[in-house]
Amino acid sequence: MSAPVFRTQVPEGVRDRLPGEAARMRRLSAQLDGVFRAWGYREVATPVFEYLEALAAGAGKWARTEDLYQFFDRKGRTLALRPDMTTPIARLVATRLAGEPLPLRLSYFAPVFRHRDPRAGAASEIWQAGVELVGAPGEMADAEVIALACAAVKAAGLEGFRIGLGHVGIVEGLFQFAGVSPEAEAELKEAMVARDLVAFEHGVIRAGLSGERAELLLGLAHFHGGFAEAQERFGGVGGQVAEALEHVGQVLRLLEALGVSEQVSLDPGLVRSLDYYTGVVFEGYLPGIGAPVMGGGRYDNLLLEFGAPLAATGFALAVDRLLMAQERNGCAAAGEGLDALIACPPGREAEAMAWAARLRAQGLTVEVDLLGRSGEELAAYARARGAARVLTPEVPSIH
Amino acid sequence: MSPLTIALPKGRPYAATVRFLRDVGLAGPELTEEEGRSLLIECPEQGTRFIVARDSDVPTYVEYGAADLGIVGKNVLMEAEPQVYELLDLGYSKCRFVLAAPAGVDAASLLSGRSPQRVATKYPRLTEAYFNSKGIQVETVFLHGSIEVAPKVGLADLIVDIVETGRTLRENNLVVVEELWTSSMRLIANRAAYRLKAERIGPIIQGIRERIGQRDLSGNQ
Repeated sequence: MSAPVFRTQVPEGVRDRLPGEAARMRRLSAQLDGVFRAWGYREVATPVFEYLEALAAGAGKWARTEDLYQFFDRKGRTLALRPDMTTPIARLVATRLAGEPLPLRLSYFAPVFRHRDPRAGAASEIWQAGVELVGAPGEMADAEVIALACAAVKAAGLEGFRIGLGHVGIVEGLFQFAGVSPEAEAELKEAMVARDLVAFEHGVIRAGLSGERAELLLGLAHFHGGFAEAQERFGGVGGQVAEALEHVGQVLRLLEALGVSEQVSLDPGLVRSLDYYTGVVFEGYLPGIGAPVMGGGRYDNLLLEFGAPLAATGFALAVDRLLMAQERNGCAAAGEGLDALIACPPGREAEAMAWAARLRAQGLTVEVDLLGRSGEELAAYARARGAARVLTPEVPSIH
Repeated sequence: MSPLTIALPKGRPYAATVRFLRDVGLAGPELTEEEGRSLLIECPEQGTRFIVARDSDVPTYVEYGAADLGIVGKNVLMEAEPQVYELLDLGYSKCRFVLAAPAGVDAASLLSGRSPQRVATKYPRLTEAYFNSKGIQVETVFLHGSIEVAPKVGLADLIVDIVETGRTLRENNLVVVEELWTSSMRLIANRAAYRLKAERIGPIIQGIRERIGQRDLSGNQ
């Protein structure tokens, strides 16, 4: 009954890429890869599916296993499609690349898979491009990946990229200072991830906080301003908060040296949904694109889950949002037209194919007509394919 | 500078929203308290532009970035769970989500779980989540409006709806079985605009917060 529908449609959350889209994606991949390589990052690829345990190792939140596509292998072990690239690359670095000179600079351009609410029309196959910088703690590594994200977006021809920069230590230190209970902290963090500031305020009240401690937390949630203001407002708390602020301040100074500081602003209230972040966290935005186009941060404990105590930092760019931005900006379609279409009158097959081969050897894009067309029929196809010219092998005259 | 685009709901909370926007200096005389025909209204002096939309569409405009900010009831946000930032409880247009049944019906037996009940609502996701959390199996009947008529015509045994004064319930011979949540108008922001237009949005939020001042935070969010 419904078989014909399933035969001709694809499931919710995934889609085909037609020739023009596939070409634009390939071009974006090349643009990003060019920058990643220029900064010393080497591309890796990992399997699309792995053992669930490996994928769930790093991130408590991915233990929300309903978000994972899961299935069994023939031995009954649970497999899952990877929901992000950071965890598989952490596994790779801790195992296959163990013993490589550090730091390791790795990049990827690959799809990840997450069950999404189809009502929102969200993609379940999400293409990401990103880097992981493993084995380098400290501000320089954080500044490097942030500046690299700016360079990558610039190489994609996109203007107006802005990054919000926060630090896990600011948030956790303030919670600690305020004396928030673990349960209340989980609730408040969840509200901060969603940036539901109303729920956050209610949570602060419910946690029984008042006075200066409540003001500090509310000030964090509603913060707008520069580094000096953050220092003035939260620096006095000392401890973890002061350390985190100092770290962020140093990253901002390095970003100035890297020439991208005007693209980065402080966002101490930024909390990302993944559990594995331990240091700076950041998100990137582009004008006209309603959702973040980039996210990342430092995750110094994730590799330990795979047996390697290595510091790491990185980011992922949302490929489809970058493609949307390129399209909005009127980025010309990636070249897929033809330099020449070679007609093939009956009996001239060998000549037509040899001619095409000579032209291709010169670097031209050439198709041979396989359907024996001529006249208007062939001209219509040539127009549809954007062929610059139509060539016809000489038909020898009959004597 | 491109105008700041704000989506707001037509219908019941429209006039109060317009008064609020004028009050906080975001709207001028172009935005009138009576709903006009125009669904896109510019206030050049304030540098703002308003999209007047169905309440359930307001989060969509904001989520996709067609609007930078939006004003919408918490009831709509709870049902749609859009990916937007919820910045402020504006405190007006307060209402309650209630579970209601025809007067004289023993609601406890209806909810005993012995016989399956049908519940009519505009909020199917929330309704299902509520009954699931109670371990009661119900059949949810989704309606776009006039929920209170459903029991009268045999479409449903119970309803989940929002009420302001309770008058509509009384007129339809319905009584509140349980209050589930409360709602009021919220200021929401697009995730990218919140950061990209921080210089613009930040002071607005600050201004509104100061104006609202000490608010009643006891309400359920």
